[in-house]
Amino acid sequence: MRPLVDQFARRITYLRLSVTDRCDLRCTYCMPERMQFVPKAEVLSLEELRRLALGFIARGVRKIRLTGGEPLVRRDVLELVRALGREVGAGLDELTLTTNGMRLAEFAAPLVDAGVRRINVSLDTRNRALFQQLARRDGLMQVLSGIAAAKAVGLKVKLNTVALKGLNEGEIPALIEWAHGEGHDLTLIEVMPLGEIEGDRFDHYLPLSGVRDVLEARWTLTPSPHRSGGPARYFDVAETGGRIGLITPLTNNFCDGCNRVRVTATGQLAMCLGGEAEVDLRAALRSHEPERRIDAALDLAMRTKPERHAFAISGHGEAPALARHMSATGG
Amino acid sequence: MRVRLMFLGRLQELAGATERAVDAAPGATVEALLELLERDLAAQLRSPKVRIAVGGVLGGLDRTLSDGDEVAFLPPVSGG
Repeated sequence: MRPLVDQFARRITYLRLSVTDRCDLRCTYCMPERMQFVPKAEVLSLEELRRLALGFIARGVRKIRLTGGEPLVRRDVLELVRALGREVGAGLDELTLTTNGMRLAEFAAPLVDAGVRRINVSLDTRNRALFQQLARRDGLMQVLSGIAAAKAVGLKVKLNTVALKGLNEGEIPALIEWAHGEGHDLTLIEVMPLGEIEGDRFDHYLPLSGVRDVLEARWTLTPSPHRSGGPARYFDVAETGGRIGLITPLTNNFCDGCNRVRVTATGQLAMCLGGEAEVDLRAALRSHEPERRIDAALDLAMRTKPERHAFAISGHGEAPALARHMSATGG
Repeated sequence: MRVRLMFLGRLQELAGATERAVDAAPGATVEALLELLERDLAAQLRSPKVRIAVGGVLGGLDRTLSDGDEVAFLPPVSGG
């Protein structure tokens, strides 16, 4: 086995695999109401996804996260989860996914059956009106039921919350308190400049350095040695007994320890969430010799994975750092 | 003994509530618990497609309950 090691000696062991660019919410910071989704024929088939994931596992990937869009809106997603779930304990240490929670009440039990043990759920607010404003759908009750379902079947839940100035800003401490009371960790994320949206992200850009000050005035935060191999830095909260994570792509750099790559729903391998460079794995998959072409594409990717991302939101009306939408790449 | 029933997803509309507390005989099974509910609701919850979890673990209708248990009913995956 030839492990995936890039030109900066970073070992790639974590694949984030987007299974669809579609979503049943329309969060304002993520996509426009009338989002143009890619035609189905351009999206990888179930068999292509399975084959690709096994190709990554063969090259030393130990953890796969299914993303979207919203992975649970894809009709055959459970077949993929079951197929990859069979690799857990063999080639894979962990199979997980990130979901908006809308369909989680239905999927929680089958996910456990397939070998999933932990999931991330995106939740920006527990205020129904604000949820509707942010997601352009009245989905909060459904999402909360989904989170309750995950807990009921023993899935470990981590909540991901995008911190938004003037929107959920004031609710963040209460949200953390609730999450920890339910036994869920929570990670705060700064708005990322990906894809053209309506409105101006700068208006709601909330630096987490300030949020951290607010939380430290209220609670005792102790830096945690916990690492997920990603950009989050963790803190244990003495008063709630839970853990919070902070992801600060704009005010901090986290690239040195990067262990991951992403594959978009159309099979484009993105070496960095904050970089344009892609390698076409779909072309490799649909060629006459997919195994060899995938291996060659992965080797090329390792030579071109950039050292750092190129994120910035420095002013009003600024174009996004990247034209590609987050829903195409999958967080 | 008292146990708490949790209805998740679209089962909430069926039950007309997100949760309900019921008194049952000590050592009752989930099946015995369903006998205490309205007939229509019990029939739907008995469907093999509805999943049952007690205390964070998936189980079946024959699962024996203890005082204070939370019994969750989860809806099946709906088509596309």
